[in-house]
Amino acid sequence: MSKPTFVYVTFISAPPEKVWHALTDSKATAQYLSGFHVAMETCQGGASLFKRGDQVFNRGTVLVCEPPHRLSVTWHPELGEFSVEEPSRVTFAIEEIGTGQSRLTIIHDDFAPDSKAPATVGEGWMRVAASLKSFVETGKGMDLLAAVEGVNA
Amino acid sequence: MDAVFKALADASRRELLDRLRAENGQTLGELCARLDMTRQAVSKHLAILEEANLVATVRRGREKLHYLNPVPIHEIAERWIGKFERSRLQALSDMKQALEQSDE
Repeated sequence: MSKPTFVYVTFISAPPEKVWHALTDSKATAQYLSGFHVAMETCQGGASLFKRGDQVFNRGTVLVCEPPHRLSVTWHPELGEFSVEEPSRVTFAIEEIGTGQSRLTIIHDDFAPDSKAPATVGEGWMRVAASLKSFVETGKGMDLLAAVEGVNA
Repeated sequence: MDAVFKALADASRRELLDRLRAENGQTLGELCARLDMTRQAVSKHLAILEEANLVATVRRGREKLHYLNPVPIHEIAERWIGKFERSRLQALSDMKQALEQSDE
């Protein structure tokens, strides 16, 4: 069993069912992913696509689907240098802590040996976690691309 | 948020976070081996960091691995740093880093 490469934890003021919905429902994901969305068949072996409009950026397969507590998908970029690598894995664990409170843990691991992909993961998941939390708690996500666009401005 | 600031207000705990930033996913034993602190002290500091959600732990078999969890610090930044300021701060930070490196 390989050592997880990235682990992010955030506490969300909502029950696990609401966090699960925000992670897996296509319309919900569009609310906090700044123009991207996830199209997922929520069953083991189902497809999980990370898209912008019709363009697929990531094509994954659902490995574990245990609503509302555990979701694990393969992570396989469609474009760029990492598209030729073996897929990595992203796991979302949602625990209920107290009534109506959740702890969301995002783990990105199982990268191919010698993969350069971990160096590029950077702040991505952290921003997604923050935007997801904001969306679930207030109904409004954050602008994930603000920092990137700011640099170009 | 109080817990985050309290946890950060200690040089030993910041040192632990630096160690995890350099190498994520260390066990208590690994962290102790590289620090001039007793195992008991490291364990106590890690508990405070975990309580503040600055350190996340993952079990792998019998081992407990410690990860730097940057999410709470990101949330603090989001609260006080506006989206337009961020790129300027990044530019300043890059410049500071470049200047400091050229001094070496």
